[in-house]
Amino acid sequence: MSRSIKKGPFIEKSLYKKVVEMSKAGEKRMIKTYSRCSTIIPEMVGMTLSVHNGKSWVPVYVTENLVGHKLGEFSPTRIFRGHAGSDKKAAKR
Amino acid sequence: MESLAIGKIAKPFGVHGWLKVQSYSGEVDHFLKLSTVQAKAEGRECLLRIEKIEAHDPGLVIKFAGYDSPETAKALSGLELWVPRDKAAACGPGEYYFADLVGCSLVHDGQVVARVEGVLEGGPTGYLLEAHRGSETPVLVAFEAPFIGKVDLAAKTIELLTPWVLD
Repeated sequence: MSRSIKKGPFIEKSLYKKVVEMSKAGEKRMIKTYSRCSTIIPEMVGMTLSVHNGKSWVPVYVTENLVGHKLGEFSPTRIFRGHAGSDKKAAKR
Repeated sequence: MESLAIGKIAKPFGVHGWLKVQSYSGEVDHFLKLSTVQAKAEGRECLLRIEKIEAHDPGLVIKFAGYDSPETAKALSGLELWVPRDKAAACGPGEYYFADLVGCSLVHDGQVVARVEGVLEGGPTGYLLEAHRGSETPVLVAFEAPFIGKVDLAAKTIELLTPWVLD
Protein backbone atom coordinates (compact mmCIF):
# COMPACT_ATOMS: atom_id res chain seq x y z
CA MET A 1 0.00 0.00 0.00
CA SER A 2 1.34 3.45 -0.85
CA ARG A 3 2.01 6.11 1.77
CA SER A 4 -0.94 8.22 2.90
CA ILE A 5 -1.14 11.60 1.14
CA LYS A 6 -2.21 13.15 4.44
CA LYS A 7 1.26 12.50 5.91
CA GLY A 8 3.14 14.02 3.01
CA PRO A 9 6.48 12.70 1.75
CA PHE A 10 8.94 11.34 4.29
CA ILE A 11 12.14 13.30 4.79
CA GLU A 12 14.59 13.07 7.68
CA LYS A 13 14.07 16.14 9.91
CA SER A 14 17.78 17.01 10.14
CA LEU A 15 18.17 16.73 6.38
CA TYR A 16 15.09 18.87 5.74
CA LYS A 17 16.46 21.53 8.11
CA LYS A 18 19.79 21.62 6.23
CA VAL A 19 18.06 21.77 2.85
CA VAL A 20 15.81 24.64 3.88
CA GLU A 21 18.70 26.57 5.43
CA MET A 22 20.86 26.11 2.36
CA SER A 23 18.01 27.00 0.07
CA LYS A 24 17.37 30.27 1.97
CA ALA A 25 21.05 31.15 2.08
CA GLY A 26 21.48 30.29 -1.61
CA GLU A 27 24.69 28.42 -0.82
CA LYS A 28 26.29 25.86 -3.12
CA ARG A 29 27.82 23.15 -1.00
CA MET A 30 27.28 19.46 -0.63
CA ILE A 31 25.07 17.91 2.05
CA LYS A 32 26.17 14.51 3.27
CA THR A 33 23.42 12.17 4.42
CA TYR A 34 22.91 8.59 5.49
CA SER A 35 19.15 8.96 5.01
CA ARG A 36 18.60 6.90 1.87
CA CYS A 37 14.88 6.62 2.59
CA SER A 38 14.26 10.38 2.45
CA THR A 39 12.17 11.56 -0.47
CA ILE A 40 13.64 14.10 -2.89
CA ILE A 41 11.60 17.28 -2.53
CA PRO A 42 11.40 20.26 -4.94
CA GLU A 43 13.53 22.40 -2.57
CA MET A 44 16.47 20.07 -3.28
CA VAL A 45 16.54 20.78 -7.02
CA GLY A 46 19.94 22.18 -8.00
CA MET A 47 21.64 20.90 -4.86
CA THR A 48 24.21 18.13 -4.60
CA LEU A 49 23.57 15.56 -1.92
CA SER A 50 26.17 12.98 -1.03
CA VAL A 51 24.30 9.78 -0.23
CA HIS A 52 25.98 6.94 1.63
CA ASN A 53 25.79 3.52 0.02
CA GLY A 54 27.08 1.56 3.01
CA LYS A 55 30.70 1.95 1.97
CA SER A 56 31.26 5.30 0.34
CA TRP A 57 29.46 8.51 -0.56
CA VAL A 58 27.90 9.00 -3.95
CA PRO A 59 27.29 12.61 -5.00
CA VAL A 60 23.82 13.05 -6.48
CA TYR A 61 23.01 16.24 -8.37
CA VAL A 62 19.27 16.74 -7.95
CA THR A 63 17.29 17.66 -11.04
CA GLU A 64 13.52 18.05 -11.47
CA ASN A 65 13.27 14.50 -12.80
CA LEU A 66 14.42 13.06 -9.48
CA VAL A 67 11.71 14.73 -7.37
CA GLY A 68 9.49 12.17 -5.69
CA HIS A 69 12.11 9.42 -5.73
CA LYS A 70 14.06 8.27 -2.67
CA LEU A 71 17.70 9.34 -2.29
CA GLY A 72 18.84 5.73 -1.99
CA GLU A 73 17.69 4.98 -5.52
CA PHE A 74 20.61 7.01 -6.85
CA SER A 75 23.37 5.64 -4.65
CA PRO A 76 23.78 2.00 -5.68
CA THR A 77 24.88 -0.47 -3.02
CA ARG A 78 25.86 -3.16 -5.49
CA ILE A 79 28.08 -2.03 -8.30
CA PHE A 80 28.99 -3.88 -11.46
CA ARG A 81 32.58 -3.28 -12.41
CA GLY A 82 32.82 -3.61 -16.17
CA HIS A 83 35.74 -4.96 -18.21
CA ALA A 84 38.39 -2.22 -18.19
CA GLY A 85 39.54 -2.98 -21.75
CA SER A 86 36.16 -3.40 -23.38
CA ASP A 87 34.41 -1.30 -26.00
CA LYS A 88 31.64 -0.51 -23.54
CA LYS A 89 30.78 3.18 -23.69
CA ALA A 90 29.89 5.79 -21.10
CA ALA A 91 28.10 8.96 -22.12
CA LYS A 92 28.36 12.15 -20.10
CA ARG A 93 24.93 13.59 -19.40
CA MET B 1 44.71 1.01 -26.08
CA GLU B 2 45.20 -0.31 -29.60
CA SER B 3 42.71 -3.18 -29.41
CA LEU B 4 39.50 -3.53 -27.45
CA ALA B 5 37.55 -6.49 -26.10
CA ILE B 6 34.21 -6.58 -27.86
CA GLY B 7 32.65 -9.70 -26.44
CA LYS B 8 32.91 -13.08 -24.83
CA ILE B 9 32.22 -16.51 -26.26
CA ALA B 10 29.53 -18.31 -24.29
CA LYS B 11 28.27 -21.87 -24.77
CA PRO B 12 27.74 -23.79 -28.04
CA PHE B 13 24.48 -23.30 -29.90
CA GLY B 14 22.95 -26.07 -32.00
CA VAL B 15 24.70 -29.15 -33.41
CA HIS B 16 26.84 -27.56 -36.15
CA GLY B 17 29.47 -25.82 -34.02
CA TRP B 18 27.86 -22.41 -33.65
CA LEU B 19 28.66 -20.47 -30.50
CA LYS B 20 26.69 -17.86 -28.59
CA VAL B 21 28.59 -14.61 -28.14
CA GLN B 22 27.84 -11.89 -25.60
CA SER B 23 28.57 -8.36 -26.82
CA TYR B 24 30.14 -6.14 -24.16
CA SER B 25 28.73 -2.95 -25.68
CA GLY B 26 25.27 -4.46 -26.23
CA GLU B 27 25.54 -3.66 -29.95
CA VAL B 28 25.92 -6.32 -32.65
CA ASP B 29 26.27 -4.39 -35.93
CA HIS B 30 30.06 -4.10 -35.71
CA PHE B 31 30.35 -7.90 -35.29
CA LEU B 32 28.59 -8.50 -38.62
CA LYS B 33 31.42 -6.72 -40.52
CA LEU B 34 34.21 -8.87 -39.05
CA SER B 35 36.01 -11.67 -40.91
CA THR B 36 38.67 -12.55 -38.34
CA VAL B 37 38.95 -11.93 -34.64
CA GLN B 38 41.62 -12.39 -31.98
CA ALA B 39 40.51 -14.63 -29.09
CA LYS B 40 42.27 -14.38 -25.72
CA ALA B 41 41.91 -15.75 -22.20
CA GLU B 42 44.35 -16.62 -19.42
CA GLY B 43 47.46 -17.07 -21.56
CA ARG B 44 45.56 -18.66 -24.44
CA GLU B 45 45.49 -16.65 -27.66
CA CYS B 46 44.42 -17.56 -31.19
CA LEU B 47 43.20 -15.96 -34.39
CA LEU B 48 39.74 -17.19 -35.40
CA ARG B 49 38.21 -16.91 -38.86
CA ILE B 50 34.50 -16.19 -38.87
CA GLU B 51 32.60 -18.46 -41.28
CA LYS B 52 29.06 -17.35 -40.50
CA ILE B 53 27.56 -14.85 -38.12
CA GLU B 54 23.99 -13.97 -37.19
CA ALA B 55 22.32 -11.64 -34.74
CA HIS B 56 20.50 -13.72 -32.15
CA ASP B 57 18.67 -11.91 -29.39
CA PRO B 58 20.11 -10.85 -26.91
CA GLY B 59 23.58 -11.23 -28.51
CA LEU B 60 24.67 -13.12 -31.58
CA VAL B 61 25.78 -16.55 -32.76
CA ILE B 62 29.02 -17.20 -34.64
CA LYS B 63 30.35 -20.19 -36.55
CA PHE B 64 34.16 -20.21 -36.59
CA ALA B 65 36.03 -22.02 -39.37
CA GLY B 66 37.38 -25.40 -38.27
CA TYR B 67 34.91 -25.87 -35.44
CA ASP B 68 32.09 -27.99 -36.85
CA SER B 69 30.65 -29.74 -33.83
CA PRO B 70 29.48 -28.53 -30.42
CA GLU B 71 32.22 -30.65 -28.80
CA THR B 72 35.06 -28.92 -30.68
CA ALA B 73 33.41 -25.50 -30.43
CA LYS B 74 33.09 -25.87 -26.65
CA ALA B 75 36.89 -25.48 -26.41
CA LEU B 76 36.42 -21.82 -27.36
CA SER B 77 33.90 -21.09 -24.59
CA GLY B 78 35.11 -18.39 -22.22
CA LEU B 79 37.49 -16.73 -24.69
CA GLU B 80 37.29 -12.99 -25.13
CA LEU B 81 37.13 -11.49 -28.60
CA TRP B 82 39.52 -8.59 -29.29
CA VAL B 83 39.62 -6.39 -32.37
CA PRO B 84 41.50 -3.25 -33.43
CA ARG B 85 39.93 -0.06 -32.07
CA ASP B 86 38.50 0.98 -35.47
CA LYS B 87 36.48 -2.26 -35.69
CA ALA B 88 34.90 -1.96 -32.24
CA ALA B 89 31.45 -0.43 -31.62
CA ALA B 90 31.62 3.19 -32.78
CA CYS B 91 31.42 5.95 -30.19
CA GLY B 92 28.72 8.57 -30.67
CA PRO B 93 29.12 12.24 -29.71
CA GLY B 94 29.81 12.61 -26.01
CA GLU B 95 30.52 8.91 -25.59
CA TYR B 96 33.80 7.45 -24.35
CA TYR B 97 35.11 3.90 -24.12
CA PHE B 98 35.55 2.63 -20.55
CA ALA B 99 39.06 1.65 -21.63
CA ASP B 100 39.90 5.29 -22.43
CA LEU B 101 38.49 6.73 -19.20
CA VAL B 102 40.38 4.31 -16.96
CA GLY B 103 43.80 5.74 -16.20
CA CYS B 104 42.81 9.38 -16.79
CA SER B 105 43.63 12.02 -14.20
CA LEU B 106 40.93 14.17 -12.62
CA VAL B 107 42.17 17.74 -12.94
CA HIS B 108 40.93 20.91 -11.23
CA ASP B 109 42.56 24.29 -11.95
CA GLY B 110 45.48 22.53 -13.62
CA GLN B 111 46.18 20.38 -10.56
CA VAL B 112 45.77 16.61 -10.60
CA VAL B 113 43.41 15.80 -7.73
CA ALA B 114 42.69 12.11 -8.33
CA ARG B 115 43.09 9.29 -10.78
CA VAL B 116 40.31 7.25 -12.41
CA GLU B 117 40.86 3.57 -11.64
CA GLY B 118 37.55 2.24 -12.88
CA VAL B 119 34.19 3.03 -14.42
CA LEU B 120 31.20 1.57 -12.65
CA GLU B 121 27.65 1.18 -13.81
CA GLY B 122 25.07 2.74 -11.50
CA GLY B 123 24.15 6.09 -10.04
CA PRO B 124 21.60 8.61 -11.24
CA THR B 125 22.98 8.90 -14.76
CA GLY B 126 24.24 5.38 -15.20
CA TYR B 127 28.01 5.74 -14.77
CA LEU B 128 30.29 6.47 -11.85
CA LEU B 129 34.02 7.18 -12.00
CA GLU B 130 36.04 5.46 -9.30
CA ALA B 131 38.51 8.15 -8.26
CA HIS B 132 41.57 7.25 -6.20
CA ARG B 133 43.67 9.71 -4.21
CA GLY B 134 46.76 7.91 -2.97
CA SER B 135 45.96 5.33 -0.33
CA GLU B 136 42.62 6.85 0.66
CA THR B 137 39.30 5.06 0.10
CA PRO B 138 38.14 5.54 -3.51
CA VAL B 139 35.47 8.15 -4.12
CA LEU B 140 32.67 7.72 -6.63
CA VAL B 141 31.99 10.66 -8.90
CA ALA B 142 28.94 10.68 -11.16
CA PHE B 143 29.89 11.04 -14.83
CA GLU B 144 27.54 13.96 -15.45
CA ALA B 145 27.79 17.60 -16.44
CA PRO B 146 27.56 19.32 -13.02
CA PHE B 147 30.67 17.46 -11.83
CA ILE B 148 32.63 16.68 -14.97
CA GLY B 149 33.87 19.22 -17.50
CA LYS B 150 36.05 18.68 -20.52
CA VAL B 151 37.33 15.17 -21.24
CA ASP B 152 40.70 15.27 -23.02
CA LEU B 153 41.62 11.72 -24.01
CA ALA B 154 44.81 12.79 -25.78
CA ALA B 155 46.15 14.32 -22.56
CA LYS B 156 44.43 11.62 -20.46
CA THR B 157 42.73 14.24 -18.30
CA ILE B 158 39.15 14.78 -17.15
CA GLU B 159 38.22 18.18 -15.78
CA LEU B 160 36.60 17.98 -12.35
CA LEU B 161 34.38 21.03 -11.85
CA THR B 162 33.51 20.37 -8.23
CA PRO B 163 36.59 19.25 -6.25
CA TRP B 164 34.54 19.15 -3.04
CA VAL B 165 32.89 15.89 -4.18
CA LEU B 166 36.17 14.19 -3.27
CA ASP B 167 35.95 15.32 0.39
